[in-house]
Amino acid sequence: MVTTSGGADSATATGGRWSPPLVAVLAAVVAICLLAAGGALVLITGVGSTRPPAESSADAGFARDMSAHHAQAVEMAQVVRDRGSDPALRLLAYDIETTQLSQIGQMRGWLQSWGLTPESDQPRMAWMSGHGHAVSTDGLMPGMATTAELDRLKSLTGRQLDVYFLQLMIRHHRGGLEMAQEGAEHASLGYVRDLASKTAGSQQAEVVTMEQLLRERGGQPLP
Amino acid sequence: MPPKGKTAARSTTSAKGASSGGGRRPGRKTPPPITVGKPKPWGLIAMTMVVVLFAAGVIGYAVYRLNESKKNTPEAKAADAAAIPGIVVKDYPQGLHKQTPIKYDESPPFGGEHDPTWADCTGTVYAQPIRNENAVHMLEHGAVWITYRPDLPANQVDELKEKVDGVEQMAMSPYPGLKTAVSLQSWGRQLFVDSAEDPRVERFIKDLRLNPVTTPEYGASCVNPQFKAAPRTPGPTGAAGSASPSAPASSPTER
Repeated sequence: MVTTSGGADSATATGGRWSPPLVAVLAAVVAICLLAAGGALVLITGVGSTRPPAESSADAGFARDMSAHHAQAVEMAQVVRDRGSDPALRLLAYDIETTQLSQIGQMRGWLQSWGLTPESDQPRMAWMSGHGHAVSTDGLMPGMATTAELDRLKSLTGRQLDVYFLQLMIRHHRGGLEMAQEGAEHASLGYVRDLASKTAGSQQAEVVTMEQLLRERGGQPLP
Repeated sequence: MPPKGKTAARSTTSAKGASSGGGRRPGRKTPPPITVGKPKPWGLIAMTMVVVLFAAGVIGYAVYRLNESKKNTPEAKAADAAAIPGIVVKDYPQGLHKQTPIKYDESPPFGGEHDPTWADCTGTVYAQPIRNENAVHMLEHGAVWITYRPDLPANQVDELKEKVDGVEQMAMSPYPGLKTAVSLQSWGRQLFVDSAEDPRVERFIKDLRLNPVTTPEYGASCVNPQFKAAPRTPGPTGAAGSASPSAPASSPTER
């Protein structure tokens, strides 16, 4: 190995002396470059990048529970989109249905990319920080309709259907509000907080619209 | 034969490295030659150069990759849009519905209260002006609305049509009284240009169409077949916005 002698090597061999400071400088340059390249490699390969939200995180909890909450709104909205008696209400129902269905898709996509699924051992809303928002005895999240109420909605027609839909949807939106606000505050990822706060904003505004529609139809909000 | 060549090159380098690094240590036996300057350790310098070039390459690539990965985020696009020369950015509250005519501060409006019915924005080319109140609602759903002065030359109208026709979350309509030839609106953002060929038109669309950061109701639909079949036009009631007794609740705040 050492027998090879290029021009440079023979020169050093005959000269016999290297300047120690030069060697030190070269060594330092090599060390710095290797360190920097190492750092760059770490960046490229993504080692040490932030880990996705964990199973029990607020992000995952919000994505799971809001998806489930949204899914019932989609189900109720489909009834009125198909059979509502009033074009304005049918359009509102269509808006709720398509927007929330699309958001369910977003949230399930997040879960998948985080290596999680919509199904979990975590109890509903356990990720929320405050108190007093426990699920009801029948396991429903705030604002959600019971099976009996859904059956009743599906059995109604005409103006009765319109009014009952508004009553259920107002309660549903109100119930989801606290969860949305909690997500907007406590999720760790910016895009999760963003969707949560926009959901809170649009549902609050939609409640105002629906209350007006309900009044125009002579209905009263559910307690 | 690339592999052979590579191996050969590597072995020479390593040989050099070994000989220069291992063999002789700088000693003080011989006095420095008078005529010749200190011989340089060329092998060592060459090695250092190789390391420097390697590091520069890796770092350059890392920087490129980082820039590349950050360039297309919704946040980066929103920031890029905000940097378009001439763009106006305002903050509007979302979701405020109103069925009565609304008096807007901007013409065309690009945020604030709106009709519960959104204008269809499924790549829709409206031949006639559409009602502001419905158009603002489609902006809330993530659409870009292109408006143009009715006297815009046909070839420029065609150019705009190409950007809109069939493209989801896009719509265009003539707008009598528009202060420039063309303007673009997305929720909270507006740009006036003098020509359909202005490169800022493309940039505005690329940055803001369906941007989840700037869209208040991201995921909401543009589909509204009834409106598409029978679009609501500004009409006498729509124009007389001042008839509305209640003051507009949406006073936009400058960002």
